[in-house]
Amino acid sequence: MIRDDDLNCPVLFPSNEQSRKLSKKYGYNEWMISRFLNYIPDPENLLDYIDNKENLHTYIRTNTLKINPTILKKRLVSKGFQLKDTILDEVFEVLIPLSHYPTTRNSTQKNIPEIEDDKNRHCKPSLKVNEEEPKPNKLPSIGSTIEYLRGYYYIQDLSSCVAVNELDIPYADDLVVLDMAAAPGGKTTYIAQKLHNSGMIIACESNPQRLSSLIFNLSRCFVKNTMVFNMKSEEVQKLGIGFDRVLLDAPCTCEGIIQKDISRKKSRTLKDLEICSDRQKKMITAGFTVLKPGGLMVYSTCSFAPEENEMVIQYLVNNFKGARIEPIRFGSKGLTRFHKYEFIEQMNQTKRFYPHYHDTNGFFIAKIRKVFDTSAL
Amino acid sequence: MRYRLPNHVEETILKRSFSTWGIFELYGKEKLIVATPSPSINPKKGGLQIKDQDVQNKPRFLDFKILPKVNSKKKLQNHLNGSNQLKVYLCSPSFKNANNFMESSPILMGLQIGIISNKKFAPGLNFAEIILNNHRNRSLEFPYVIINEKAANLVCFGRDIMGNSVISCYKKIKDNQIVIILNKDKEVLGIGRSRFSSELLRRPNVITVNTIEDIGTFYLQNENMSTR
Repeated sequence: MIRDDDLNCPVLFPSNEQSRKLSKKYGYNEWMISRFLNYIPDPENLLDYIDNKENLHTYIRTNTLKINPTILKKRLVSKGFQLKDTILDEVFEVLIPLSHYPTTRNSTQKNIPEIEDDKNRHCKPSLKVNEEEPKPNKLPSIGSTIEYLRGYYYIQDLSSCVAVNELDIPYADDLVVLDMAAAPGGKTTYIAQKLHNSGMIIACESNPQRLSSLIFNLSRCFVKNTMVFNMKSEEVQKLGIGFDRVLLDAPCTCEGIIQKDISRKKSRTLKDLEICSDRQKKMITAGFTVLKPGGLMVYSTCSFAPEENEMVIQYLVNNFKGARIEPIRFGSKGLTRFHKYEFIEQMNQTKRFYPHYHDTNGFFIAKIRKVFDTSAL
Repeated sequence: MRYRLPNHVEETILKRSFSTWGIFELYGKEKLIVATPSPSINPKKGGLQIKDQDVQNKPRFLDFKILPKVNSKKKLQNHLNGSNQLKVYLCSPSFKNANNFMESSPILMGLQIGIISNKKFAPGLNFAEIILNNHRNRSLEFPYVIINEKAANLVCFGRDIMGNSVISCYKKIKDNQIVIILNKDKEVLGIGRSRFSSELLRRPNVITVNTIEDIGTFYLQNENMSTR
């Protein structure tokens, strides 16, 4: 078993000719590229993919507290939006109108490993342009339609929706759910709709600057079963409640959303990685402690770094005997080894999402059941 | 924010409002909570404001306030006058032990539906939504105006309503009355105040309804803050 002390340090790989070349070509810190080469499949493909803005995918999640997905789809299509179904019934991909592309582009055939539900997997849109088609009228931004303002949908990446979906929330009046890093409220509002606005959600957010967006989104989406606390979720035990479900979408270095925020190619340091990893371990410990026996916890980050993902889960498993990793349907398998580390075998049941394979943000999801009550070992 | 259950007077005000808006049968079905906001507001700054004193006194739970977008000095003044306002929240019935949490200083409990100010209840957008949901599949028996699509797009961003844009309205609207603004699909776009009685609400080339609150309020406010 890996000792906790071993799980503390971020791993730095020596640079080589390839990492130098790629960091220069794509404008990243070289240490990041050296690391990517060691834990991302087809790293060059990934860098190439996220360098192209045309590969940016937009998803919307229907707020079923306000509207039926079929009706919403009809309304948006009638306004000129092109929507495509995804693996989740209430989530649609918003396709960029074909005429917005300056030239035709051939989509390359990719090998997509370890997608377990290939039939249901959403397909890439055809990018062939029919020159005879008339130019569509200019569309409003998907974030400024009346439907958006009325809370009929939430702009949210598919991978984030999968994380909430994996919480397996049943319809129950007395279910208590904890969202440990709630702002801006995408996952909280999704949990609320899964609960049909019943039960109770405790949403914690430590950053006061982010509270206004959280409160706005809860109100826009007509959520009435949520209490918001401006507190560090590491201190959630002070509330004195046990939770049936815990969602920890942990603050991270955001390697997985570089496509949306290219400043992250250079702005993050190894120290940031260490700080994030350390905080994530504290948060997951706090979250697992308040989970009721038999309860379910979903841990996610929008990062590829094993220090923020598998190593955090390994830390939890090392410290809590009752933590059992459960399988997730979608995505690529989590790492079972990284550098000198060997993780437990069940780590392959955690899932990773790669932009160049899954057309989502880079994302990591782990689903952990508390099989019996146990305090930290 | 300090949350508590409504007292007898506040309950009476709320019951009266629920009755006025034709949804009295909903009163008591869901839990209502009131909150007293913090007194100090800086009108020059919109959006989230943290009070320094509170930060010192309460290191873990911070107090805050959101100012809605205001279109004019008058509206701002109206908003600020309500320093003794109570915000009214609707909670899920499963908030059984809500009283225990009120002492932990939550930032938000449930869904804000309006404000009690000067012994009157001012409905918010979510209250309008509840009213409309309750009137589904039956005639609308409350003060409303239905506006055309062009006006709908403008109202979402704070504009007032011209008489030409009003497609139809409730027959018994008086002047200076709170009305719910709907689009042609009968969806809530905002809350307004009538300048005239219902017979004159479709007068051309005149603003006949002032928009008080609209669904784009917060959106625009955030957009403005991000461009500063």
